Amino acid sequence: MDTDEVKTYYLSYFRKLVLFACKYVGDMDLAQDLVQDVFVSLLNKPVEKIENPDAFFYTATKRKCLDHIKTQTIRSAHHENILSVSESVFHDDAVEKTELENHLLSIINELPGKCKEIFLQSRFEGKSNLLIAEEMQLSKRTVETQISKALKKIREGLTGFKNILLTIF
Amino acid sequence: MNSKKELEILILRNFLGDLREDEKKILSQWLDASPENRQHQEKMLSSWQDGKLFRDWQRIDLQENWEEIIEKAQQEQTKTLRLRPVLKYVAAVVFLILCSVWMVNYYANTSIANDTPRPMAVLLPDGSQVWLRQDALASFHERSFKKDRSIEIEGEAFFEVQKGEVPFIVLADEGKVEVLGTTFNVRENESSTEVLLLEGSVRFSAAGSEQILKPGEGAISDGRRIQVIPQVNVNSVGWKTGVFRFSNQPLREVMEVAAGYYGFSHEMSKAVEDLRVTAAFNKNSLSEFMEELSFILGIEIKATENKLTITKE
Repeated sequence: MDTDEVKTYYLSYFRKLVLFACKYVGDMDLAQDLVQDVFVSLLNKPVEKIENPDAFFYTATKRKCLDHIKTQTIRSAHHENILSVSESVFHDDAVEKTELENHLLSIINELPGKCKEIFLQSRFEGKSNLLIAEEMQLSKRTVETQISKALKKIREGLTGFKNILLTIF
Repeated sequence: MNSKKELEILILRNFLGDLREDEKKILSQWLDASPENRQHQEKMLSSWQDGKLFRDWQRIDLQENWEEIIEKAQQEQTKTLRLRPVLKYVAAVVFLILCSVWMVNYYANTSIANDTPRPMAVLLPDGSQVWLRQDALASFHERSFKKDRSIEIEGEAFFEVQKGEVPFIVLADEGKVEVLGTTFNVRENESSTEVLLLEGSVRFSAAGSEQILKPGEGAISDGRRIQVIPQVNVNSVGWKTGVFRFSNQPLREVMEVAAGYYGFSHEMSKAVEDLRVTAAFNKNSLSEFMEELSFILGIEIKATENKLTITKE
């Protein structure tokens, strides 16, 4: 497998895997670092072909995380707990959760600029529609339309995703 | 029956405020069914609250991360390339240890110290001779001496060097003397190294500079610079040569100089310390020396087991 192929996998998996690793190590920066290592090993010890990319990448990431946790001298009870869990990823709730979360995050991220901004302020910053309208110098009506447009996109995206999930898991 | 997945999607959509009435009903029924279900919801939403998850996720820079991956991969490759040489180093270190053990045995330093009061003559492997003054120490490699003619000195030593192709090197703390064949004296103490040349020619180097000495000259180095002594006092090497010339010198000094050659220890009364001596000695025996001094100065010298006691007559 050459660098270009690795990069293709990288582009479709990196964010998901970071999200996944984050569930183990609880820190986004550290998670990025660990997932980087997954791709580093892939570049340096080339694999001919990856049969099941989902299984391959999630397992590799999980192993990296567990290795990291093991090498930490101070282990919290929480980590001990994770360590005692079986390594098989496909019984792992975290994978499914990651897929779902990542999918939702992607949908939100792909909303058109203004629509996304309004939606984020409304849902994550707890601002009222009126406040958003004032701040962005829009009518309250426009804000409401943009939010419902965003929700529609999300709903559609998640419905499609539900079907994918049912076939994968 | 709704699958767990579908319910999780409902939970998220509910969080974003996008549930129809019938969907809300399904969700609340499920939530009411057991406290575990409520816990599950809380766990799911904890990362979504306040939008931190989204911000962190958005912050992931794919370009930057890819560059870091490429960099790490290259570093790791050079590391694995270096790993084999590491084994070589281990082998090299083991080899060196074995070699040095062998060399320590083979080139074991010969050290000779003079703990007697009289000068001690040491014949070196190349035929040169060293006289060590009391408490002086010479060390050299017995086996390689003919090849490098290098000797280390602590304290004071007198050299008669055989002519040879290889320079004869005397190493002292504050300087180095190189010669081809000559007679000279080296005195090393804690702060300085002094060389006095009697015959031939020597190169004295110390502190990055060097000085070629002519017979009768001396030089002293304190480790910072070399100072030349134009006329060596013959008494300086009297401890070896037995040749002394005193000119109006206090008896105290005379006895100290002579003690190096005759190897006596001594004590004297205050009354005689400052008596002036003008005399010459040339390899005289100790009794001749004592007799002469007694005669000149009108003092009494009593000898008991190598200790001289000097008093006014």
